[in-house]
Formats: sequence, C-alpha cells, structure tokens
Amino acid sequence: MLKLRIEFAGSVAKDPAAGVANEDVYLVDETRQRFCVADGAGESYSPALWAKMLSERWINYDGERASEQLTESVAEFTRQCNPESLSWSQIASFNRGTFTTLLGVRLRGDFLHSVAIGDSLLAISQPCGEVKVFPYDDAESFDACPELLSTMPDANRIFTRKSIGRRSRRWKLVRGSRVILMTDAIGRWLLERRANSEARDTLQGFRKESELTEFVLQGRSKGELRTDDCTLIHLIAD
Amino acid sequence: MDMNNINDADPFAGILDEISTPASAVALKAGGGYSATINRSNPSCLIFVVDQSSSMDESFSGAKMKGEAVADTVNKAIYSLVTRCTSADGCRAYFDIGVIGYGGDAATNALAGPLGTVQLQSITEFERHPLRVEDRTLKISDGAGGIVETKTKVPVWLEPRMSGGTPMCAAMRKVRDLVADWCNNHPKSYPPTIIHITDGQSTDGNPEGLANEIRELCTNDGNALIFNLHIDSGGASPIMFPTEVASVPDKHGRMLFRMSSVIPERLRPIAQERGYGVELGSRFFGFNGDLVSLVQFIQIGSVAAQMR
Repeated sequence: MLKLRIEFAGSVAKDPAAGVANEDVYLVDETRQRFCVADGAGESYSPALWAKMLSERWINYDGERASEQLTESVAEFTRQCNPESLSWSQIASFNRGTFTTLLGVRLRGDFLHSVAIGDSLLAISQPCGEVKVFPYDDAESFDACPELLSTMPDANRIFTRKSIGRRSRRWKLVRGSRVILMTDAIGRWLLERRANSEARDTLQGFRKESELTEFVLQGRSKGELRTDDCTLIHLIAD
Repeated sequence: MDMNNINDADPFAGILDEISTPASAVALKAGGGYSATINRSNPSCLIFVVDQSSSMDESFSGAKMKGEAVADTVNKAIYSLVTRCTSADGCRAYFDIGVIGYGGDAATNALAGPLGTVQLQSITEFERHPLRVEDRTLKISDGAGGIVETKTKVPVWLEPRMSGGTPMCAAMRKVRDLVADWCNNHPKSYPPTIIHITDGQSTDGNPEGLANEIRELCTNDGNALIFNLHIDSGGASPIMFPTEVASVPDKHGRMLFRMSSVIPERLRPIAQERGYGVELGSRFFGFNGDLVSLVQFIQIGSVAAQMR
C-alpha cells in the first residue's frame, strides 16, 4: 500500500528581521497520512491562530460536515480571542474578520484527496513526467482576489457543499509520485516557470529549512519572489 | 498573502527597491515605482492637509458643516488605517501620519494632546492617543438574514475648527519641509501621500510653486503624491480625476488641478474600482466635491498609501 513520506516541510517568514510573526501554518501527520498548509491573511486579527485552528481541523477531520466544522471553528476563535478584553483598535481589527487559505491533502489507498480553498498551490509530479497543478494552472490567477475561509459568517456563505466539491480533487498516485504543497509566493514562482522540471527540481531539492530560506532570500533580492511568508511541504509516495 | 488581495486590487506587490542613491537626488516620473513593500523597517507617510478657514463653517450636503464633514472623514480614514495595521500583537508601525490645519493666518498641527506636540508621528501613537473614544451602537448582519446591534468604540483625533483666512502657502510650505525631511530619512520607503481638502482660494499667495516642489520630492520608490479636493456646498456636479485643466471651470480650481499629481499607472485601478474613469494623464484632483466625493477621495488617497 502506498504511503506518503515527508521529504521536506518548512516555512520562512516574510520579514524575520522585523520580528513579524509568520502567518503561514503547516501541519503534517504521516501516521494518518494528512498534510496541509494554510496562509493567514496579513492585516487581519490573529491570522496565524485562525490558520492553525483550521489546519488542526483538517488533520483531525472526523467526517463531520465542513459547514459545522467552520461554525465551530469561528466560535472557538472568538472564545480564544476574547473580544471583551481587547483594546478599541484590536476590536476593530477583530470585527473586520480574519481570513486564511487552506490546502489539505490525505492519502486513502492509492488516491490523494485534496481540497484547495484560496491561493495555496498543489503540484503533483508523476514518475512518467506528467505534472498537475491545482487549483491554479497559470501565474496570472494569483492576481485575482482569492476566496478565503473567514471568521465572518457572511463571508463563508460561498462555501456550500457544492462549492467545496468544486474545490476538491482526487489524484491517482503511484510509487515515486511527488506531491508539493506551497503557499502563494512560491506557487506563483513555480507557475511563472510553467512548473517546468528545473523549477520543480529546485523545490524538490530542499532538505533543510536553511536551504528554503536561502532560496527565498535570493528570490526576493532578484525580484523573482514576492515578499511574503513562504511555506512548502514536499512528499513522496513510497 | 496580504489583505489587499481580499479587499482591493494589488498592483503594487513587489520587492523593495535597493537603489542606494540619496532620495532627494532621484526624480522618478509618475508611473514608475510605487511598489515598495510597506513594513516596520520601511513605513510610509500620510499627511492630511485640512482647510480650517471660516468658510468651512457652511452647510455641506445638507447636514453637517464642511469642517465637521472633513474632520469626520479624516477620523474615519485614520481609524481604518489603524485597524488595518492592528493584529493580536498590537498596532504595527507601518505609517507616519500628520494632520495639518490651516486657518486664521497660520498652518499648524491640527491635533491636540500628545499628537499635537510633533507634526509627524507613527500610527502606533495614533492608536495610543486618540482625543477620546466614543461608544456607539452599530446594526450589522447576524449572518443568518437578521440584524443585530453591536457596540463599537469609535476614536476621534481631529476636531473641526473653522476661522479666519486660508493660508494655503503656509500649509504647503510646512508640507514641503516635512516631506523633504521624511524622504531623506526613508529612502527605501513607499513615497509620502498628501491629501489636501479645501473649499476656497489661498489668502497668502499662490501655492503652485510649493506644490511643484513637493511633487519633486521622492524616495527611491517614487515621487510624493498630492491629492487635492475642492469641496463645495452648491449643487454643481463634482468633477473627479480629470485629465484636462480646461475641464475645470474655475481659476482656483484650475490652480488646484495643476498642483495635483498625475495618477501613476500602478495606482489607477484604485480609482477605477470605485467607478471613476481614470486614464493616462488623470490627476489626483476633485472639484466641487460633495460628501460622497469627499469620502471616496480620502478612501482612495489612504488606500493608495496602503497599497503594496
């Protein structure tokens, strides 16, 4: 039976020198064969907390309906933020809502099940050379406003069972298939290179977080990578 | 990912320009630059310049006095900016902000309390020192088709003030000196944005030369941007973001048009998304603006300053 093994998982903050928190989150669970990245939207209240809560929901998903999971998460987020204790500006920020992407995958049998909400990108390369990317297939798509999971109930109305279905895909994996989950800055970089073999080899070559950091810093200085939190998980099917 | 991808177009996503030339030695043409990332290491600068002459004591759009409407709108813009800069770890120092008022025979810091001591201060100081925070009740959607009332806190920084003449040159001189200083100290930053609101004509000379000097000031990322809005209590239709001076019927309006920056290509989508037909050569200028124009103009100006 196939199993996904973690080749690499790491993240680089957008402005580590300024001490700004990384608002990307990634979680991996090889035992349950569940993996995800979530990109909390900056300029909102506690985006990393929201991204982490939804990532944990994905990793611990027990079959409950997605809409109920989301409602429970919003309630939990509100409880943890405790709006009563916040300053006027924090309340105002909290009331604007907090947003995140969520890209989750899980392996069941030989099939990789994925859900992609927002602009985090999944790339699958098969040993035969075939490459699939999801949910975008060109770099220009990153210019559009992504639909994100929000702490504002109104903003989540777009996520019906049907629309979640449109954001889900199933892929047949074989031994040697490689699966890469990445947040948008790296995703855009990859699609600007049409996910060619050289670009994929670069992303598949990281073994230590310092290597991802060097790639990100060099990409930024060359103007090839936008300044943003950058997160990548590389999995291989054994 | 940043919030600009959610609420606004994000034509400014980019990498910091590492040009090391002194800021004052670089003269970029409008249309280039305007792509620097705004962060705590490289904040941007937003200056409101508010006419506080006696003519601002006229009714505006039927309800408030002009001076009250302008103060309200500036307060809302600062509130919005503070909110966008605030997360669980507090307010982040992404902006330096100033509010200059001119009336009587002088241009002064229009703020009071700790914010009245230094003309340009970090947004974190604005978060800490509003004049007061009022409790208000808002009606909002409950997400299930109903309406619920929620209590919110609304800070006030700028109080309306309306008296005397219109010393616009004194105000522009103050802006020039502030912006020159700021640009020299922040060469890598997104350039300063100046939002000027007036209903009248200068009583201390022609400020055009000073405005030209301000527009020439720059960081490595672009020239300072001046927005000028002429507000009016009459019924004439507003003219927003015109390209031709001839379309402005009044000589004082034409002067404000000439004082205004051409909208850089990267910033045009901000006005276009709000339904304004801006094109090549359109200026950050509004004439005979009503309350709606005032609100939108200040929104566009402050969003332009936030874009990255």
